[in-house]
Amino acid sequence: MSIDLSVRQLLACLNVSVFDPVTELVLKKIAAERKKRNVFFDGTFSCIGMLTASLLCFWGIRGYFPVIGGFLFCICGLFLKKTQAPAARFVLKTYFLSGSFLLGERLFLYSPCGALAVVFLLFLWSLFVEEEGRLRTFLSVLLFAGVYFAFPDDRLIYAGIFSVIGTAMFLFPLKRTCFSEAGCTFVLLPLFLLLGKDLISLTGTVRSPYETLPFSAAFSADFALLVFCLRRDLDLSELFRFAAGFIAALSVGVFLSAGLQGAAILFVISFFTDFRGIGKTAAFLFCAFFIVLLLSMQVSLSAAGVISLCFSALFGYACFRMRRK
Amino acid sequence: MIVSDKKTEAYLNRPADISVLKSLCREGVLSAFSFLRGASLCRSAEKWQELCTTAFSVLAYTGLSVAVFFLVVANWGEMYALSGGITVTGILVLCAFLRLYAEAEYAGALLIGFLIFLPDMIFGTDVLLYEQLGLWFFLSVFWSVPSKRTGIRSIPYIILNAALISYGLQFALPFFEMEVETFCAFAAVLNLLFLSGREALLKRAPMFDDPVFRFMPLCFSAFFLILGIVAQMFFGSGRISFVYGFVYMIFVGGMIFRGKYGFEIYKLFSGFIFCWTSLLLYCVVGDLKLRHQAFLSVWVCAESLLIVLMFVLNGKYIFTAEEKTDVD
Repeated sequence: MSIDLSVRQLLACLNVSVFDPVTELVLKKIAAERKKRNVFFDGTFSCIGMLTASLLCFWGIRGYFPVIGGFLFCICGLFLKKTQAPAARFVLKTYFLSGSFLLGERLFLYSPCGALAVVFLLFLWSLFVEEEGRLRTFLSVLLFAGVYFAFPDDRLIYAGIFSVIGTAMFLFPLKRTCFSEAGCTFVLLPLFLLLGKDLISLTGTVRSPYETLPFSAAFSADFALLVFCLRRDLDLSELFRFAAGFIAALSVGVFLSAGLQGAAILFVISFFTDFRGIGKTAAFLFCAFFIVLLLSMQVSLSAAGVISLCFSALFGYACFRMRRK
Repeated sequence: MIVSDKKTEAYLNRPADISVLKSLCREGVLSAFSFLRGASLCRSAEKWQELCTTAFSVLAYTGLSVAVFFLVVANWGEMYALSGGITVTGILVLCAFLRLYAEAEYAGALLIGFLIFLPDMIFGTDVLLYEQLGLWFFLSVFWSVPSKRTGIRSIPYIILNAALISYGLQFALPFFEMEVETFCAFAAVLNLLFLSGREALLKRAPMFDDPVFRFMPLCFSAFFLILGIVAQMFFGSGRISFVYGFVYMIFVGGMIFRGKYGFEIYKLFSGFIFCWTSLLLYCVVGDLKLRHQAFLSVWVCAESLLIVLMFVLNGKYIFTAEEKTDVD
């Protein structure tokens, strides 16, 4: 679909009447919303700077004055409620985060599940607050990392579960919830984790096929979820193509690389949900897993060169066909 | 209401994209199950086609690069013979004919260097690395003069600095021709002189009209100054290199104040100030003669305050610049 539809036309195509009183009220509310954001202090670069500064402060004082964590948390939190100036809020948020890290670390040492429960509740709260996109991303990463470290025996299974949850968040955006940031985090982190494991295994240890089976199963579940959502709109030929694609992806995942399977499936999901940013990241991850696969092939150098050349020709042909369309 | 207000009308007439779709689902106008249908209506086929084409071409070039690497390494014995040099020369001539294509132009620039290093590999000459890099620099200047690509034009500059580093590591420093800090200050001044020469020759030598020749000299001079300061902190005594860094800051700060450089240079300069001040803090905290753990804690907390201060000052600078633009 390459025609630029207006919102009115989109709603008409989806059988939503703009004259319905309830819908009209909501549309007025959306149209009247105007988010005032400071371009610099609310940007990604500033967030990274804030996180770096707060982590440095946390690392610097954690060995000496853990009580300061509570002090920073309370004082900075109190002033944050009263201050509106962007620069002042930036400073207060930084040291509020440091205090939170200090308190969170103490709680995690005392009770990992307790700390995870607090993070999970905060994460659930952030899903309903539209303005706190960066906080949502941060809490998603914290939740993922917390589960990863709190349950070392089943971490791969939990990583796979996060992937399925993230995909569900993309495919079923619920009312009054903000899902994009959390969904992106949960679908991408398992792939980056897998990439890290694959890079480490390049150093020489033989990778056991059982380690990647949880990931393969999770990525297959993601694909099945997508097909379930599209089932009413797919005709028979498309269903067969999807089934063939699923079998091909599963074979690649089990026999070659689970990462390739996951990245390819994520790209397909991003296509159907029109998340181009995720699509670009998935394409990048696919390239990375492809390089790792080529470098980890257990064949002679000449054979590896020939196989790489064949793959290159295949992708070059696909590129050529894509350009001709 | 049959006639909606202006804001709602404007909202309904705006193009639908994924952000609009998300807000409609969030507010309950669309159900969760309508999301995929809405996404298929909003999707731009051209942009996705472009993304897929780019992804496939990157994969194709990656596969080709890895294949070339494996095949060259597998046949390395033949590369060592004269036939290897003749083969590479033949490929370079082919690249010269095909230099309209970016890939051929970049490959040609790299092959020049490969041909320079090949005699040393084949015949085992005693030529020094900085001499080889210097020769590569001269030949790459001839390769890059007719080119209009920024990357090709910047290659000689990068090789020149690599030759400078190699000269320092292989010759100047081991034989105590000069100290590390002096060498780094010398390299920084050379780069700044290049920038001054560029500004002076700007309208007379078209090759220098590329903005990269404004950015890279500042980048490399900042790099060498930071390196000199780090080396002096760990291996030398006295604080003379901090004076060099301070003079550099005054020079570039004055140029920025006079509006000579754009925002990109300002960001690079902010990065330099941050690195220089971090190292200065390291020295100052080190002078307090604390225990190791205490020293690290104090320094890291000071770094945290420095980062926050840099961001607040940058935010205020951008705010002031935006206000000035609005007034103009």
